[in-house]
Amino acid sequence: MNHSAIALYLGESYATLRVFDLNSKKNSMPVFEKSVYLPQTSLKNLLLQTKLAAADSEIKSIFIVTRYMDRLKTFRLGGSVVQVVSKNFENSYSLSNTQVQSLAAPALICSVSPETDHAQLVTELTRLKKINPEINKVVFQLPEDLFTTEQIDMFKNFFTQENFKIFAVSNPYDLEAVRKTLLNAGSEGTKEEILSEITEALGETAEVHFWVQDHFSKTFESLDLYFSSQCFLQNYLIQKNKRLGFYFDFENWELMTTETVQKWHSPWGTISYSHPKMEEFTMSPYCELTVNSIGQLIVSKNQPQFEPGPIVAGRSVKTLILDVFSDELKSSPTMTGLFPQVVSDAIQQKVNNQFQILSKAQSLDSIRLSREEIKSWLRFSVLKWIEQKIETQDCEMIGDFASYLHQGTEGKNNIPLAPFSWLDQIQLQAQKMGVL
Amino acid sequence: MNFHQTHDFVKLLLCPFRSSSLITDDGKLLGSSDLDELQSSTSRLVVLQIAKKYLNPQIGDLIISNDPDNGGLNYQNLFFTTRLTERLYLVFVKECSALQFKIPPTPLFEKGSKNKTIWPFLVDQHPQAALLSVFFEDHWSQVSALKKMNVALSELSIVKNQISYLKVIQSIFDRHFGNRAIGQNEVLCKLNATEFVKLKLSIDEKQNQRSIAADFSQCSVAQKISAASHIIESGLVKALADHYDMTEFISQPLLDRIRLSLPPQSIVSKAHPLGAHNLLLQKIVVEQVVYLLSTLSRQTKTVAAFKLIPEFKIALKINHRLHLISGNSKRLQFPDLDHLIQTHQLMPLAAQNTDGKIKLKLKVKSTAEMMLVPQLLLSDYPQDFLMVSGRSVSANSETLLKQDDVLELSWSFK
Repeated sequence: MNHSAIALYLGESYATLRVFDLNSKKNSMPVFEKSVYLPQTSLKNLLLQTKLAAADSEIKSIFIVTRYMDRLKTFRLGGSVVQVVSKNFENSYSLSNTQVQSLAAPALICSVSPETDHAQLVTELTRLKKINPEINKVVFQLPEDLFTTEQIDMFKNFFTQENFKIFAVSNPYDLEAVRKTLLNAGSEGTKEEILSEITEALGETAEVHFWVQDHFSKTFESLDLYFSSQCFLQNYLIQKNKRLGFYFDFENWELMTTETVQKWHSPWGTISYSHPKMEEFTMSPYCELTVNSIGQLIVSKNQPQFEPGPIVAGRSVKTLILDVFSDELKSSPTMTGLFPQVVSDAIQQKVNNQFQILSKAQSLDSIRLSREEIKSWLRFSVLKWIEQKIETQDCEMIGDFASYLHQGTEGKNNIPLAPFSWLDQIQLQAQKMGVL
Repeated sequence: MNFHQTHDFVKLLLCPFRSSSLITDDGKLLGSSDLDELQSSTSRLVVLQIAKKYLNPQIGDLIISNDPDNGGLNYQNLFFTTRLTERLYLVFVKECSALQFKIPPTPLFEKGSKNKTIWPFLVDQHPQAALLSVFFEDHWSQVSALKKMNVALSELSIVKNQISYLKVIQSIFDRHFGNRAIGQNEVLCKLNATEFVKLKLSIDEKQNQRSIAADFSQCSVAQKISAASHIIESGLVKALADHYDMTEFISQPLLDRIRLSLPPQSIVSKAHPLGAHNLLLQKIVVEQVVYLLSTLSRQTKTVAAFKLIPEFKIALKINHRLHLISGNSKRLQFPDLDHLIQTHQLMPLAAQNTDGKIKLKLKVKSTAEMMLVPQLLLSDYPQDFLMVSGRSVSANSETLLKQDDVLELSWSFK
């Protein structure tokens, strides 16, 4: 009996999916496969297209590996989260380092004491709703040595009746625990957004499995989704008996290891969460190449430019690292799926023109780089980074971009290039798990 | 090998260390990484010259030193000097709180092996032998790991490559330099009635050649407070590099453009035997440089008077381990706060961060010996910003904390 399922890799900037039969043990032709660039095509749109294309079979399960939450890492969170906090503990989570990104909006703090009663809560909620009428989540940070169980229950009941989703900090004195709960609450909206797009497109009955730690799971916290793709890659390395994996895809370049670390030094402060030890390369495909005030070519330290994306996406005038390799990348099916225009002569001409402008803008003759020289410099940098990191031979280079970076470095390094497909691997793991 | 690739090699060799320098055989600074709070780019050059003079380091040697009278910062910051190739040296600095004694230039590893004469005295007999052993072994491993980067080492050791790399940096610096304002100004910072730092900064152009002159000749003579000249110069170099967008290229061309006048036996040239005032004086000089450079680039003549930015740094010492608490006008950091609460050494009675005001009230739960050690107190600060059980803490001396004492910190961002 067929069990139609979707394998979905939901990256920060792109999504790629496949419809397959979960019960099939052989490598049959996928029913449908598609990749989209998320700033141009939404996840919901992709799923609706998928449903149309696979109209003959009902999608019963979807298996997702994601790094979509990474896009939150540059944001202050908690814009719709109320914090019910004991007086004198407002924003306590920030005191290890006040410069980390905010996890909670100070204006949405509701300071309480054991004397706070129902009427005061009503007044406070009215005030908070004036600040943001959309508030719908609440984090409780109430130590049990300062408040009785009855008092805590009274606060919780009040917000439950007001249709708030409740998040309680297990130990309010533990600042890491406070951060963890605030992050879960602050990321909840994005998690709900993904889930609602899936439900709207596939219906309520489709089971949603996210990769969490070392397996697909139907139950997860928002925090788990921050490490879904890294944990999946780590699991892949363990299964292949490799210790290191140099992962290069169309949005990020990183070194993944089979080691685990217990503390996550997140952009919002340290949080206790076991996750793979990894290291990002200093550049990524969405980093901008630009010329500074003295005419020196530099890789911008700004955040990756997912919007409007590379020139080959059609709208941008900023040159990204991805554009440097676009003449070679047009042979990649994933790349042409994401950016169909990459194969057009017009867009390649536009890229060439941009590099000519960039070349002229480099006014220091001794360090001027042409497009080809930039390409070989980037390959060189990647290769040297890899050389520095390799301690043993049990490692490999993987990812859609890996083969393009590996070109021209043959003979100069011994690191094997291994084929890796998110969809193949997700399907494999899903089929291992089988129908539950 | 183009400039970008050479620069990648320099960065790769420096990146395992927060404060490190690559120095050529003829003493030219090829590259520098300066990420620690206490700057040491010039100190590292001094340390190398001393090591070369007295110990003549060979490939496979690792020399350590921390003497504030001889290029060091303080006892906790240890300098490691190694000869990577015939024509390339690496000097880096690492902090270890277990080091509470002076170490003159000492060959800890020789020809790739532990120095069997030194190791037993320095490490094995130390009360924290295990910690020290791991500290030294780790850094030896880091140095050894650089050997596998043989292409980088050989390319950077070629004199022709070194010269052309520094020549390009020179042209980059000249461009940045040429785009900025010239002029001169001076500033005075009084530490007390008799001790002060006066800096006159001049950015001049003569015969199309620009240069930077930092004149400290009118500073007070060394009394209670003083620091060695390399401490002052390291801070000055970093501040100038940041201003001229040369942070990534701190190297010989930048140093060559700076002329320093530091009178002997002055507040900015006499080493303190423990390096006790290095951070304070370096911070003052950096703030003076930043202020003076800003006055040069201002269009208007109305410039706010020089005022030190409030800043503090205090260590909470528990069983010989230091837990730092620091704050300035923008931030407060207490990295080990989570851990100290989780391990029930401290219990928060208040932990508040609202409207730019911090209120931290912590009860001591641990029975272990706990000491508050002030490390830096810059500018005016309220006398009650740090209290222990209701008593104001002295800014200049250590304060013992007992179980059930309450430590209170109040700080404002301005």
